Amino acid sequence: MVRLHVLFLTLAIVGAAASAFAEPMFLAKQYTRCTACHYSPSGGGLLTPYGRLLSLRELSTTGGNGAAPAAGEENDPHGEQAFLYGALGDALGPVQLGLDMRPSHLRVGFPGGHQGTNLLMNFDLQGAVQKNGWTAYASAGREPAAHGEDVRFISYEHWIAYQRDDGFGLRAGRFLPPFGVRFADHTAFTRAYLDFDHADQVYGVEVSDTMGPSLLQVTVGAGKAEAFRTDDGHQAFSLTGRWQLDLTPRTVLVGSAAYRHSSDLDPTSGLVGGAFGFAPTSRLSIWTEVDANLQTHARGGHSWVAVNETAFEAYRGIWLKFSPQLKTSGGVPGFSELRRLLFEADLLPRTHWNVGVSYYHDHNHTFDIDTSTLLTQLHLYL
Amino acid sequence: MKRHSLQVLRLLLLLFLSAAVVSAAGTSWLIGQSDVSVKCAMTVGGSFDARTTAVSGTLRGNAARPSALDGNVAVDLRTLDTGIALRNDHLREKYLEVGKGAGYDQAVLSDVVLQGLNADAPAGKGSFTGSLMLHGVKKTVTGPVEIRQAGTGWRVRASFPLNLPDYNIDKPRYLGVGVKDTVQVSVTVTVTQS
Repeated sequence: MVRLHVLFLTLAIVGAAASAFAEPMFLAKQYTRCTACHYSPSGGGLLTPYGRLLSLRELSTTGGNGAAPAAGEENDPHGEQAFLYGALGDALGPVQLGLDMRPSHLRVGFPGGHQGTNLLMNFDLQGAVQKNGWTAYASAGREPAAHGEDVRFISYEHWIAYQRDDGFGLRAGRFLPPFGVRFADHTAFTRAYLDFDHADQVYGVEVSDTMGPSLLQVTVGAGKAEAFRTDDGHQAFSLTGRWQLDLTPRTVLVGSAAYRHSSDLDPTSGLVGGAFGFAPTSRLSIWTEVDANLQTHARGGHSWVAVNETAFEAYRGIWLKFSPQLKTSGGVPGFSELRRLLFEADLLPRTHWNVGVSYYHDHNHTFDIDTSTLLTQLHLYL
Repeated sequence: MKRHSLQVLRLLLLLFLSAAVVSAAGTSWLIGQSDVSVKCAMTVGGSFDARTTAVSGTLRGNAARPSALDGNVAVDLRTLDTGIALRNDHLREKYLEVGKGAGYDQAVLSDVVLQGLNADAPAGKGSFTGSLMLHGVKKTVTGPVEIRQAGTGWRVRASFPLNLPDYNIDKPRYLGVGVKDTVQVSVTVTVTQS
């Protein structure tokens, strides 16, 4: 049982994080919506020119005086924040590119031993073109050989979207359906255990509408993209809804629900939950998400997943995080109740390279097994 | 003699009452602790607050119009803070053009008229109109106001929408992210009798 648990934990963390930082902690800076800095309405992935400049001028420790286009002017593709430090200048025209790499070291400790490995967590080229409300987006990269298989090519996201000035939007393609809060850590219990992990994108259509301080996002999916690729019998219709209400520029309420139809291998299941984010100061954000996983007895029964993430900017560009997490067992024998404490330091010295150090203490309450994981990442975002 | 005495008494009474009214109407109220918040809705969704506490001014009762307040309330726009340095620079220098000096570095509210409130006991909810001088343009603003007693003074909370193009302020846009035309101004001030 210990070996199985450790194996699962290792695989879960080794699995590539498909996106660049999608950081709910920036609620402290009055950013309640992902689309201020990311092309994707569900967050993560390629940064917009605004997001890149923000990472240089406002988030990194030493970039406060970096050159920036004047107010009202167009993007400057020559600046430090641009793709490859602006080396290509205007050559790309309207195309925006980003290269996301994460060389990492992972060390998992378990009763009786430990296991360490170096890995390249991400290696993805991301691109987008945006014009007249239309956005075309795609990523292309490699999936780490975490499962004993060969490294393979993967495009985690590829979609086309249209956004009207009045807030109505459409998106179609492969993307992660919006649900709850997209924590940057894809192993967060509200992501990993609810099937919103790094490769859980669906092929589907998303309809969204912004109405004053509210944002409604509804996704109809034909099934998980990877299920189509591998024809593994897990293809199933899904419907996901997410509603966000910005109570203030630093206070957000989120409600989410999902329905997943039965597939050849899976019974029908559903999710429902809520999240609340609050940033009492410009250096502190507190997010809490609680979701009910409405599964059949065969899948472990109804269970709860809860994640709190408290992030504090100790110094400009140095964020400290604390995240207690819980997954209940559902009361079915053989399914575990899991508890996690996560301590993390995110260092953002410059716009193109960040360092993340995460320490996970996981406790399998059902089988009384403790594991500890230290993950060190150098995040290069070029 | 008796009739003459009555006339004098009436005159004195009239003078006394007039003086009393003038005294109430002429009371000056000094702006104390304040908070101004400008909620700016962004074109990509969400919003941010630009805030300042740099508010000054004096309001006086108007003898002729009990619901009107003379004097003005001034907000130092050079201190507006959005929490993001670059955004502060753009807001102050590019859009509000505070560097142009008088008429631009402050927002001044004057000619305030209260509606639905009793000037003698103003606690309660009502509305107000006033003239706002901003970015070199003077326009009428109107919105709800709530007044509560706070110690020896009053706490006044007022809000009003403000349409940026009305004040010849360029549409704030930066690298695809902008602020919608209408922002919501909320003002909380504590006033004490001076």
